[in-house]
Amino acid sequence: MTSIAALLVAWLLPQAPAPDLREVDPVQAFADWTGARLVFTRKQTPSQVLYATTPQLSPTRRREAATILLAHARHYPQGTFKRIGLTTVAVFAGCGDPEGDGFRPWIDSLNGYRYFGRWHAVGAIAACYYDDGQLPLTFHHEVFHHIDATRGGKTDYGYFNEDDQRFADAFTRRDPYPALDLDARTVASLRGVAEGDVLEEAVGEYAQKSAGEDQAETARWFQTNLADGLLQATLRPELAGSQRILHLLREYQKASPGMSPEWFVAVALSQGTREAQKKPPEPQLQQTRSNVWLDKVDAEIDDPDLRRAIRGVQPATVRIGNGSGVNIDPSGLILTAGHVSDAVGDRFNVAFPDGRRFVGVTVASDKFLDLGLVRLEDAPDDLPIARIAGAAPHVGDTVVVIGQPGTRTPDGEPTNYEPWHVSVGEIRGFMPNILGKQSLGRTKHSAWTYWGHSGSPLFDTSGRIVALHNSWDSKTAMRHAVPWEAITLFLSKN
Amino acid sequence: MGSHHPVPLQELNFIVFRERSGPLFALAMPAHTTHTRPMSTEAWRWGDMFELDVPLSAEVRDLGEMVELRFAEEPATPLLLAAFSPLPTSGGPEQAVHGALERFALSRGFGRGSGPLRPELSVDPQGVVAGRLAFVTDLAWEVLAIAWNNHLVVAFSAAARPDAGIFDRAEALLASLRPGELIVSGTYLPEAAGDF
Repeated sequence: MTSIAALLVAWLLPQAPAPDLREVDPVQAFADWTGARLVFTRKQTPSQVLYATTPQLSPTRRREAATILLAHARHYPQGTFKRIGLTTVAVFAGCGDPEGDGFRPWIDSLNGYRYFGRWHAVGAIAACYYDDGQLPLTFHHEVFHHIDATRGGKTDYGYFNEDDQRFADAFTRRDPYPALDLDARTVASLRGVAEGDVLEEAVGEYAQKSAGEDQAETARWFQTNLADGLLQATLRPELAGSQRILHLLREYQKASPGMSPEWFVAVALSQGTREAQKKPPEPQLQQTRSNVWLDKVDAEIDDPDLRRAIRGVQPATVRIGNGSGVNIDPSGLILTAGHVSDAVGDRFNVAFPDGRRFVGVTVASDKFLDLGLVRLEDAPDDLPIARIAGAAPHVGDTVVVIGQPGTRTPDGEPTNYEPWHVSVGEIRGFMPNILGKQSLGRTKHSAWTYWGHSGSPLFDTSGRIVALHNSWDSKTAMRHAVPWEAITLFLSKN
Repeated sequence: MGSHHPVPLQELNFIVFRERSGPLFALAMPAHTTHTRPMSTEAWRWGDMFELDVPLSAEVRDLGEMVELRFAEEPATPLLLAAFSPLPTSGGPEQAVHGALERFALSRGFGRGSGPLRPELSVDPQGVVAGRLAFVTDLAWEVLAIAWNNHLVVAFSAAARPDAGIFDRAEALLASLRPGELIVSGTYLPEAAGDF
């Protein structure tokens, strides 16, 4: 390989940080996704959710438990646990208590009656890991108890029983809910992944214990039969089981708006294959226009003003081909990196976070400035936009990047990164000759990026575009972006 | 549009920043300083393309194809000046100015549904086309464009309010622009019918 070619390859490959090929730590990944801790000892667990006997799991079993729970935690939008005040999930090898409730056997090795898990309105749940099939059921059951007692992120025991009469009115058909409104295309997609199970009535005997347990049992059935549950709520609302599910769908959304029916449809559709279960749900609803990725903004940004500003522009960020971009014109004009837009006339699939997809054609491309413009075909004229800032940023200014990290490493390994990733950093400096060649962007920043982030906007605290991420320095790991000045020059010309 | 400067311009070193095929532009350089104008100004030249009078108090940041000016009264509100040659359109100076103003507004989020775009255009006897467009999105913007021969200069600024002083300064600055290689209309008289 010639030295020039070697340089070119060196630039092309490490557009983003070197892939971390270490095996993902499921405990950390669980915390990253949910915003809650996954713990395995009594010491780390609030006493209110402890049973008298809670033997610990071995390191191997802890890892297995974490792997199972990570997959099921992704049934809930990223950051949801944190938002609803669920801070701790504890897992043990067993749960035994000398006090029984009439629904469970005595187990000598546990020195008590065998329980599966416990919730208490202290922001914690405990689950016991008896086998791979049971653990997710317990997990969803206990999580729902917390959701049942939460409204708009606030948890209160009063909420827990408040809806019990409405729940009973629904499944006894005194006051039934209307069917879930899913379009024919979504129904067809769900049928493609459904197993044909139907919840005719209540899940089982334990549902008789109380309305709260009935709902939690319904939740664990629903969460492990998502496609079937959504289909029957749409097509067979007259069933008592469907009414239970329809009630749950409202409870989820009351606790946190991100847990919408559209979200659960997206999760169900992502489970079409076993491989897909390991991946995050993709928005596949072109017609519902539900921006399921907006929760990522809330999960990443605590400051309410900044969160509001970024929520305002996140809908304008797009996936374009294998890269990222941002829409700057209501009739569809995507600003992206030149090495993403490639040559004038090239065509791309462009996806918005609300699920809408368009075909785009490159109308301007500047390899020197590494900037491109892609015009969307057959687009409405009211698409969400983000605007260019009126001036360049300063060193130390906070920036937020929203981009599309690759789902595979250059070696083809899954990364488990999610689309519409939100990362916060700051402007770290500028390279001289700000309008010079931008193969290494001349604005330096510290927001996390990965391969696929090329073309993603850097927003200031008002949500205005101040630069466009396009590269990284493999020696220093510093991220680089095309500067505001280059963007304004490019847009003045094209 | 100002007239040609009466004093011969000093030729200073040109530093070419951008190395690639196509037209190269040079740094804008102080060419002459005068205190006889209403504001204390110095004449700056942009290669052979044009010159203009910049207030002495302005901070000039030369970016190569663009110049950023900041005025002492509004240091947080930059005025950007970009020059292009050849024109980004084959339709001549008038279309270049109109297109530049409209493109600018659309790329700043002023959608076609936001209201009519009404650029103000004027053509002087020497064929120099000047245009102005002001609009408001989440910021107030003003963009000015001047084209002649094969050259286009675009100046723009953004402020929180449409009555910000930066816009008056931008207009004053571009009013002082004196094109180089100005071709008077008499240079290209219409050829006689049938003469080709």
